[in-house]
Amino acid sequence: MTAWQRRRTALSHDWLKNRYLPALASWANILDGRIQDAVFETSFETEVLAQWETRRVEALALINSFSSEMSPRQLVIEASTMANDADLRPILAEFIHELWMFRNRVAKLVWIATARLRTADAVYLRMKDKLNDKAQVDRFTVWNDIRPDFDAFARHCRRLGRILTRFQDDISIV
Amino acid sequence: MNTAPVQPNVVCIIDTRTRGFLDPLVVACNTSGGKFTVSPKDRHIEWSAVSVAWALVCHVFDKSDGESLDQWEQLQSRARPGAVLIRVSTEPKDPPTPTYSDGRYVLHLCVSTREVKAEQWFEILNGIGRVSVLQDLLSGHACTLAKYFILRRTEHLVALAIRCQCYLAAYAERREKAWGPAPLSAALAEMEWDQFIERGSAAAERVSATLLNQKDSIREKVRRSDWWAIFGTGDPVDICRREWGDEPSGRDALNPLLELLVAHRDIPKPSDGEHPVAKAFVSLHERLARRRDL
Repeated sequence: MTAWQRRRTALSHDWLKNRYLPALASWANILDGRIQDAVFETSFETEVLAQWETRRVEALALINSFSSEMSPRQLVIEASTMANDADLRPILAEFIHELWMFRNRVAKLVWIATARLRTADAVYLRMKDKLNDKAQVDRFTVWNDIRPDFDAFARHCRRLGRILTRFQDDISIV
Repeated sequence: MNTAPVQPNVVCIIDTRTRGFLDPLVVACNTSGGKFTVSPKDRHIEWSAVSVAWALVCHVFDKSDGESLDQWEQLQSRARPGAVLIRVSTEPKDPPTPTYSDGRYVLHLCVSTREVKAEQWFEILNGIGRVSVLQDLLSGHACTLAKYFILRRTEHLVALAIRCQCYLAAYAERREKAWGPAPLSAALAEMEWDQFIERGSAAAERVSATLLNQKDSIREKVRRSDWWAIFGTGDPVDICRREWGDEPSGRDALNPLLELLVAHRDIPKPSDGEHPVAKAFVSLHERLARRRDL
């Protein structure tokens, strides 16, 4: 498993899908009156929802580093034992990289993932502004007001999770 | 080792985060004509069901995932002797190889559970009902279930395919209707060479122009046997056979190229008839693509 894969697993699988999204779903259930959890209610905004602010930075770095860290280009360089192919190696490494980028539509995938991240982030910031503006108001009243934003944020987080699984699992040419 | 046969029957599904991706397993049991029975699926672990089940399929978390309870260890200790425990995940992380521990078979699914359809679960359940298959898994031998439970690495196959791509690109030439020469055209089509050249990015254009400008020098170098020395001190034939895996289909297509590499002979220029690099690449490409699909 490469370092990139480990970072993706930690972010996408361990945090987003198995902790953050279930927590957002629990919050929706609380807002809908389906469950009650006094501890979760007091900690949700600061300890759960706010995790997005650090994780979005990790997510953006992860997406942006995919094409360099998972490119098969390094296999051309690492696997070479030829002493006299120093001039050839960079050219062929670049060729393999560009061919991989083209065949796997890597640029498009990165673009879509970045767009999904930014969309989720925009909704999060809008939601956060509204929460800050109404800091003195009863929290459930505020949350009911911003419920559409919250639902949209959860939906965009799920879409982000789905696109992250579409990135290749290993360094390969196919 | 105690390998007493177990009686296929009750499959217990442990899924603490119900999302439906184990539903195909339920379908496999329900359509097995009574061969497999699924115990009621619940978010809470029913320990009485665990202790009698023949097979346990578990989507559980350990402490590193933020859970306070290490359910996986508990499940292993409380399953009945002879039981088969399968741990599944949507993103398997370097799954351990199969083990036989305290009388229980412990397997980790190497592929994302989402990719395993009902018919494949049926194949898995049938397989783990046979002691010979379980023993093959434990010893790492080829068997029908190896693709699910033994992570097969393909680094050398990928490196070999990359060498092939470089060779093919170096010798590619535009002919009247298609890219050639003829012995390479199928392989060039497989690597989408024509689209890459015609519809690639500016970077792709730059790279291909560089390749073209230095064609003669590159051609000479990618023919040389030391350019293909990617196997270290290992035997290329053994390494490729091991990485290729259980399905021999297509593996023989590597032989002409591997014979040249073993003999440290340079790769011939394309002429009439089959070319070892083109033949190997088409097969490698198919094999590496298959790795993504069960």
